[in-house]
Amino acid sequence: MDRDRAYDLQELCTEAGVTPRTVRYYIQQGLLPAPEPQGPATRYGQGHLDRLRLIRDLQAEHQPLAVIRQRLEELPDKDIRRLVRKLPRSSPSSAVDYVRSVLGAPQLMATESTALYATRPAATPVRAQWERLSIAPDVELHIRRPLTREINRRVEKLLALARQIFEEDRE
Amino acid sequence: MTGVRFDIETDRPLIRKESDTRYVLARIVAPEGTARQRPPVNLALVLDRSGSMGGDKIRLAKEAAIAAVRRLEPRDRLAVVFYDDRIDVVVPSAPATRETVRAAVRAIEEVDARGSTDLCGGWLRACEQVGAADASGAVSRVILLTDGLANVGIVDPAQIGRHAAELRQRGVVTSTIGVGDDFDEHLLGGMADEGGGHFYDVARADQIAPIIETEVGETLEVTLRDAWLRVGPASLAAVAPIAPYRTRRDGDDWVIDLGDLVSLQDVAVALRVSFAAPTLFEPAKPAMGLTFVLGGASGRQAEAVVQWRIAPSGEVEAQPRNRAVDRAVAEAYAALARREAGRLNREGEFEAARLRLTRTGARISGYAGDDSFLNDLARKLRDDAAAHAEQLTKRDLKARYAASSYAMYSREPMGAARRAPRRKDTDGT
Repeated sequence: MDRDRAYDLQELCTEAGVTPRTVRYYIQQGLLPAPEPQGPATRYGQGHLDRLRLIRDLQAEHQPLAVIRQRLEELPDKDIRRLVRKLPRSSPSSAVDYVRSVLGAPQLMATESTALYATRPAATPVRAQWERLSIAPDVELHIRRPLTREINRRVEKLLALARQIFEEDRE
Repeated sequence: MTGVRFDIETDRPLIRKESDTRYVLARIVAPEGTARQRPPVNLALVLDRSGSMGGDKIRLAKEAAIAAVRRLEPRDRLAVVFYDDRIDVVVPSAPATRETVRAAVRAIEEVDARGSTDLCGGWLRACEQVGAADASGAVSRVILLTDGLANVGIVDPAQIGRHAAELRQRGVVTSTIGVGDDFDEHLLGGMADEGGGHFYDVARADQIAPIIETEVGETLEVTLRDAWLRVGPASLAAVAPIAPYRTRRDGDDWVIDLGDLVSLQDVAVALRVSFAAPTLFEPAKPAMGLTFVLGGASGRQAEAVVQWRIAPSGEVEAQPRNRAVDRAVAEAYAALARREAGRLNREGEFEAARLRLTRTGARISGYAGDDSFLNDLARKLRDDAAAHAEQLTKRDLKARYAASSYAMYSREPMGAARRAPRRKDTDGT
């Protein structure tokens, strides 16, 4: 909203969650444009804040600074603004997406290095797994995983609906 | 709430002009808090109900879980997962209202022990429950209790460790409790290291309840969530903790993640500081300074600066040592050596285990001088080395692993957080 908002160094750092040293380092490394005027009256703009946030998001994706610099160099302020908004906060994907990507994928067969820890023969076939979700004290839903993405989506819907129905009942 | 305490000391204040290494001890005491001020908790309990848990173990685990669940308030969230070769999400994540707690208690009571163990699957389902809850600002914790190995599903400890690290990055912290003589301490300890939580060794079933109470109790007493230590400029020196804290570089800083700290928790972090050699064209500096900032999810809390003066070799050699820092550093290295030696012994690498401990002991002797604490520690490491020259029992390996793990994270002998005494003075009022 406040496009022309100016920040002093401390405010900028608080907003972006970095230290003054990090800001100076990024300026020195060409990741941030040098502010004007220089000195105690130095003010930083929304562009600086957006860039700092985008750098943080890209670092969370384990991108090296050199690559980040290259990406930032090519982008005008308004594109950076848009990108910051588009990236999910904190990490590249949520914990839920992460778990589903692990459990949804066919389970790895035990390899030689894991055989040490496995008491079963190493060539256990890929197995499906039943999961029991309790909806209410006396009602359960049984699901055999892995499910396709589409079925999974429907199951989520079913669960949400089921819970809604039972919540209603309780009130 | 009284403020944080933060002190930084170095082992020696002088360094050589060429590259040099020094050690730093960071002492942190987390703010004191009250139950009323605590952040909400987003908790999942993951309980192993495979056949080997039968009898006392499952009964006591269930009782402890029920007691834990009853401590939560409606603003907290709760999920309960049981697993063997099948995973049962018996309580999907929900606010801990009276109804949820009642349903959870009933569900826990009904569970019996049977089957084999899909440890990773059960734990991941619980992480999913905690992750799915919209609870930003909450202390998110999955507590896994097991007496066995992962033998169904994903079983590779390294792979499970990576998942724990990824989930921690996404806000889900994992703590693990191993019961008896048959779990894999390196698997469970690694999950807690990577997952940012705590590992506990429970030798006997009757210790299950106090340990669950400790861990759940600590989630209810967090006063510095996601604590971190930020040290820079990173271009001046490589800074690394002598413990498995997650460390990363952010801009020109090193960032060390310390996890959630509870009311008055007293943590000592030993750090190795390796100054970069000056380049040929750099003007000579009289001193090197590093800034240490302590913070958490709520922002920065305290700051300290350490200056090292550059001095001629003779003066550097002759300078006195700060023995408090030396002792903490020696203990940290001893803990790492013991843990590694235990792993080697478990794998039958007896000679390598012996060497690992002997070398660390010799290094400590090298700077111990007439300090009795350091000489004692070096002697104990030599004794440990002798003990590791043959196969240790499973119980002994676990007890030793746990002791070194507790030591490196500044925890008490049973695994609870070490607490500083309450401050009598009421400064700031």
